[in-house]
Amino acid sequence: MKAYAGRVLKIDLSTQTSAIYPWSEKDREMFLGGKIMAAKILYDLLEPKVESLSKENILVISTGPLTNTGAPASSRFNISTISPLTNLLTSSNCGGSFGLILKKTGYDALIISGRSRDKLHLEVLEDQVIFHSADELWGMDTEHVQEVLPKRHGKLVIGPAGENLVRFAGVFSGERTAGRGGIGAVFGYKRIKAITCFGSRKTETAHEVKSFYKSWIEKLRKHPLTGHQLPTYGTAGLVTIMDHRKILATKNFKSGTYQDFEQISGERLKRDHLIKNKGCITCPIQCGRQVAYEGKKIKGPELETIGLFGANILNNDMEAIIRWNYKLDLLGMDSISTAGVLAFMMELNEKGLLKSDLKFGDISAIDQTLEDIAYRRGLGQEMAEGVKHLSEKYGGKDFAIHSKGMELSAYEPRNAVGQGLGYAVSNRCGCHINAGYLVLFEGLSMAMNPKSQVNKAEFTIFSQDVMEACSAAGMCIFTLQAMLPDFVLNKPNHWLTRFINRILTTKPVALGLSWINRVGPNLLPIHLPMIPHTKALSLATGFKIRLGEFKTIGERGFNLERLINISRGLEVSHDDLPKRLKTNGVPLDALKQHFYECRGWHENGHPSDKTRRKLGI
Amino acid sequence: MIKVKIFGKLTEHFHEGEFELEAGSLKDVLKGVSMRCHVEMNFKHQLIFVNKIQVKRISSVILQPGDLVTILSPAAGG
Repeated sequence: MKAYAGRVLKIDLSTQTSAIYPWSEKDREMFLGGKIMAAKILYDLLEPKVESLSKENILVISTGPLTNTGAPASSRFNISTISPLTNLLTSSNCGGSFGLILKKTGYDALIISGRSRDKLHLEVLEDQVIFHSADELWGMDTEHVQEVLPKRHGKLVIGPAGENLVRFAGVFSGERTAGRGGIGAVFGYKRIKAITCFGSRKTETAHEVKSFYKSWIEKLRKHPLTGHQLPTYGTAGLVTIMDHRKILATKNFKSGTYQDFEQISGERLKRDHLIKNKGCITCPIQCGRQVAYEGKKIKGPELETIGLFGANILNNDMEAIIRWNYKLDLLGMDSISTAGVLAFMMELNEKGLLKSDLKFGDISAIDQTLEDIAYRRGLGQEMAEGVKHLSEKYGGKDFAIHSKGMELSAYEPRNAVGQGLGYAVSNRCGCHINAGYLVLFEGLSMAMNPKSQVNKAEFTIFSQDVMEACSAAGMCIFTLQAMLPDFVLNKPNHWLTRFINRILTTKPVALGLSWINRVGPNLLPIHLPMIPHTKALSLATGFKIRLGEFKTIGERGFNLERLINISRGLEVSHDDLPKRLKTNGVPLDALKQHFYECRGWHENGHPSDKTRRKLGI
Repeated sequence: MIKVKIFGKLTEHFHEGEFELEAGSLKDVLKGVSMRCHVEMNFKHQLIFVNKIQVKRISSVILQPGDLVTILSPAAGG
C-alpha cells in the first residue's frame, strides 16, 4: 500500500474511544485521499438530515497520497463536514504542517464523531489517542493556544469564534487556515479546542520519485506564475489586474473596479510591508507573506482578505487590512465571510434597513465589530450567523452576496460569467475554487471572452474535476496553474495567444472539451507534461493514474459531494446567485442547464444513473 | 501628456511606477518607456491597457492627451 500510511482512525468523542476504520485498496484507488476520500466516508456514514451542530455530525480530516512523499506543495490536508453556514457539505483545504505530521503518525485520515462532555485537547500519536482536558486552553486565541501546545506536534486549533459557534469560524494550523464553511464552529460544538499529532513514520513510494519531483520543482520555479508572480507579490498580486478587468468586488459587489486599488495592491504590500516570503512547508512557490505589525512578524493578508476588506467596503488603508487579518486569525474567523457580512451590513445601513455604525469608506467601527462577532455581542450575535440569515431577517436579499448561504470571495462575476456559474453550482457553495476558478482564463492570466457563454460549462467541469483530484492527492491547487503554457502567459499580445484566447469560446473547442469531459478513464491514457500530478501519483502509489483516471477521480468526488448535498435537500433553485449579479450580468439559467447536461445530470440537478454507474457511486 | 503606470514584473526596471510622457500613439509611449529604463523592453510579455481597456493591437492605438496607459504582468492564484 505505497504512498499511504495505511490506516484510518475513527474517534468517538462521546465515548472517548477510537478504532481503525476499514478503508480498502480499492477505496484508495477510487477515492484517492483528501476531500474525495472524505466525501466517500461522509456519504457512507452520515444520516441525511443530520444537523451541522449536533453530535451526529462527523468531521473527516484527511491527507493525500502525495503528502509526506516530498512532492512539491504537498503538505496540505483537508477537513470536510456539514457546514453550520450552509447546512450542506463543506470542505476546507489547509497548508501548514499538520497534514504532514498526521501522516507520520501512520494515519491517512481521522474521522471524528460524537460530542465530548468536556472541553478537549485531542492528542493523536502513532498507537495512542489521548483525550486531554482543554479547560485551561478554552478562551485562548489561536496564537496563544498554539504556543502552549507541544512544540514538535502538528496542531489544529480554534479561537474564541469557534468556541462561540460563529457560523464562519475557521480552524487554524500554525498561520494557515481551514477557513471556509464554519468548521471551527463544528469543532467548538464538539468541544474540541485543539487536535495535536506526532509521529515519525516514513511514507514509502512504489517507485523512485526524487528525480521526478526535482524536475517538477524546477518547472514550478521557472514558470511565470508559480516562479515569479506568486513568490514576488503573493496572491495580492492579482488586485491590479482584477481591477483592470473589472472583476475586483467593490462596494458589496456593486461594481468590479475600485479607484484606490493601487493602495491595496500586491505591489504596495511588497513595497511598504513585506519582510519576507513565508509559505507552507514543502512548497517551492512560497506565496505567503510575512509583514511587520507592532514590532511583531506576522502573516500578511491574501488576495481575498485584501479585496474584501479593501475594495468591497471602500477601504484603502492597507495597514488596517493587515491588522484585521491578524485579528481574524487570533479570533479564529474566516476573512471572506466576515468581510462579506460587514459589506452587507454597510449596505443595509446605507439603505436604512438596519441601523449600525458600519458605513462604506469608514473603518472606525470595524475593530470592535470583529470582536463583537467572535464573542456574539450586540449586533455581532446576528452577524455571526452570516449574510443569508441577515437578509432573511432584515431584507436586502437582492444584494445579499452569497450562494447557498456562503459569502462569495473577491471575484465579481458579472465580467467573468463562467466564474459566476461556478459560484452557483459549487458544492462548497460560494467558493471560488470549488467553482472551477474559471476567472483564471476569463480575467487573470488569459483573456478568454468573459461575457461569452460558449464553453464556460465545459471548461468549468474540466477545471473542477482536475482541481478536485489535485486537492485529493494532497497538493496545493496552485501547482495546477503551471499548466498554463509559458508562451501564452509571456506573450499576451502575440497573434497566437490572441488566437488561443479567441478560439477558447468557439463551438468546436467546446465540443472537444465536452468529449474529454464525457469519455471514461481509458480514453485518455496519457500523462500531460503540464499536469505532472498524474505521473507523480503513478510513481508514488503504483496505481495506473493517467489523465483519464485523474479526471475521473475528480469527477467522482464532485458527484459524490453533489449527492451528499442532494440527500440534504439541495434543489435546482438553490444553485443560484443574488439578483445583483444576475441583472445585466451572469446569464445563470442558461449556463446552469447546460452545465447539468454536460455533467450528465438530469434537469433537476441530480446525477443520472448512467453517470453514477460510470463513476461507480 | 500621457500618464503611464507600471505594475508587476516590469517595476523591477524602474525607480518609479508612475510617470508622464509626451506621445501621440501607444507605440511612441512604449518606445519612451523602454528608453526610460535603458533596457530593450519586449512588450509582448505585458498586458497593456489604455484607460483600463485592454489593447489588442499596439500598433493601431492613437492616444489623446490625458490618456492613461497601464502596463501589467499576467497573474494568477487566489
